Amino acid sequence: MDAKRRNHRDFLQNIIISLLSLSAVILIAQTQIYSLGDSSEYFQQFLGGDSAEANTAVQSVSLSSPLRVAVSGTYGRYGDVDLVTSDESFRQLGSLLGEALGSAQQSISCSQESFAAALNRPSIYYDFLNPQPLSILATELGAEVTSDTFVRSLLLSDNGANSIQLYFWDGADSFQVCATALTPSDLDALIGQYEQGNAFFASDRAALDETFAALAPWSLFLQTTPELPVLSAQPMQTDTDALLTALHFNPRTNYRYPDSSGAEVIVEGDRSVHIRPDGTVFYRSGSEATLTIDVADPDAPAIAEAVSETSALVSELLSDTGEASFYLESVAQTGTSMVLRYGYQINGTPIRFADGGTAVEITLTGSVISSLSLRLRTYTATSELSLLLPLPQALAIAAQHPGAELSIGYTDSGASSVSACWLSD
Amino acid sequence: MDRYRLKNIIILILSLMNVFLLASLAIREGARQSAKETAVEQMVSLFAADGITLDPDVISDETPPASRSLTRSTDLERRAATLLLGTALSSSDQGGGISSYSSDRGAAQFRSGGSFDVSGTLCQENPTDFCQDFCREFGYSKPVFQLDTNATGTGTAVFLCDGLSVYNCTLTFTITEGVLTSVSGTLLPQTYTELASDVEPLSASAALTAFQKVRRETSAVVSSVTELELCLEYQSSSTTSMTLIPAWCIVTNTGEYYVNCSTGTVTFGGIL
Repeated sequence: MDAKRRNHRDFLQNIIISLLSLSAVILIAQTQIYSLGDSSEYFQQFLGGDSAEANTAVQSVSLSSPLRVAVSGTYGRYGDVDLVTSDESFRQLGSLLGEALGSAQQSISCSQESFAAALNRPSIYYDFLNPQPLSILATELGAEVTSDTFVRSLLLSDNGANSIQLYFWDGADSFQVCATALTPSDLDALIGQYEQGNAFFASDRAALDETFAALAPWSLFLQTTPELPVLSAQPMQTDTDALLTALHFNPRTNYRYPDSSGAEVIVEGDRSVHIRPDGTVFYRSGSEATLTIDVADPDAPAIAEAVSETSALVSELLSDTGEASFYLESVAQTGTSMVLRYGYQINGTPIRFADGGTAVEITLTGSVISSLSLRLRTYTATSELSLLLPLPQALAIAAQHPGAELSIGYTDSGASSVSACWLSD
Repeated sequence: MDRYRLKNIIILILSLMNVFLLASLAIREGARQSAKETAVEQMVSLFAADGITLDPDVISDETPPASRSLTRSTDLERRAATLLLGTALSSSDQGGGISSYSSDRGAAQFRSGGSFDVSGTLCQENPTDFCQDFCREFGYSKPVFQLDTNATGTGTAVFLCDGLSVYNCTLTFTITEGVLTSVSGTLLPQTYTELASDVEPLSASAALTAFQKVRRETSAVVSSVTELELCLEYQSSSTTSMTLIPAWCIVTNTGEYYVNCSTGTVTFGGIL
């Protein structure tokens, strides 16, 4: 009996010790979790290390473009001269344009007068600053368009016959128009959201003022000239090894030397890259196809593919542009060669270079990047505001070049400070 | 020392250890509660300093849910069109994400962002019951109608996702002399994918702080905050799919304000 009681007592004690030990372990763990904060992060680190692995493959990037918009209604125009297609404030405007592009019927040529008349009806005018491949613009707007027509501006206008027409302008003298599936109520609903009267085109005042008449008719102005900050500009702090790796050079190569201008020259076979102290980089390919883009037809890449691939490379090369970002400025195709230019923009305002150059210029020969130039710059806005010429003075200067378009932008001359100014193109 | 006594000592030590750990956790929890109460009191004082009455009980502990991604469903649109226009439908894809349906009852147009518009002679008997059935079928709240003596007016309902209202995703029913003549709004699927985010969503206190900042900047007139609850904000851009973002709805005596839990943007929802 004593033995039975002792065994029973032993068993109970063992149970109690087990339960108390388990309880203590749980409470210690709970205390540790409390101390460490987010438990999921703690266990992730404990079990699997850093879950965010470095992705060494170049990923495609979503391009966004600066643009100017004029919303025209019964009471005047609303304008925005520093929008970007990725802005939240562009969302509804972009959606409507995307639907128009996606539902666009066959286009036909029309006259400049028709285009101008359409601007004076309830309409929304989108100016992408430079002629762009329509397929690229459509992709940014979520629509699918296979045409490689180049367009600078698009216009949605109520034709008064219960339908909305889409006008295209190539930036030169080609105008096209087509029908869409949008209805006037779609356009009116969006126009009604904007307070009209803060903007005008040069053509709106051409009859009253000679200086406006001398300008490009669709130069867009705001009643109140925008206040833009002065930018601080400096050569981009870039990792040379990462740059060389992106250009498919061996970063540990011994074939590197400074040239007479102070640029570092790296040579690999008959390929070379020059890196200047001011942040300018020049790349020349050799006889071998080392730096290429991945496209379906290497001999004749489609524009959309070329833009997609090169923008991914540019995103990797321009690692620290500060508050600025890059955008596709232009695409020029000649035979098997294609030249793509990317520029900088900050909050929808383009940053040009005083010598007429561009941030990135890539020359493709088929799928091979035969040459590439970069201006590695970092821009940040300061608290100082740019001093712009009063509009009348800017108009008087621009009027000396009839047909010029007057707009506001930044011009980088290589100095550490970049101010906004009037640009006449 | 015999085994019995040794085990008793072990049991005593483990008991004391458990009591100590429990006390430690209780003290920490107490400190956390105390800090939370202090934060609530400070928030109430902050609002009181601006002449705004804030009920401390409305400051919720809830954690906002993750953002949700939705994908357009043409099946859902066809079901809605069938319910409103009948089964003898003809449909066409007009491009740009615009789909059209028509029948002898009327016509419908659905767009890629979820917005839709149906008009015609949609229901001639008990239109309010029909609208309620529609809302129940497609995940909307019970519609609220404002009709005059001629049975003419409108009704509105808001989309619900797991019980949370999507404040900017509504339906409007138009009834003319007892006939449902149009339905318009945003039609969303009820299935979604949760989106991972590195950004911690705003808590109720942080939302109130964001609201207070914007209220001061805009000099909006508010004298009391009566409710604070979680809801969802619908976003659809030209390049991304439809997304539901968690938001806090701050109900004041002069209107509703919505604070986006990801960006902290404050939107005025309108006068109550």
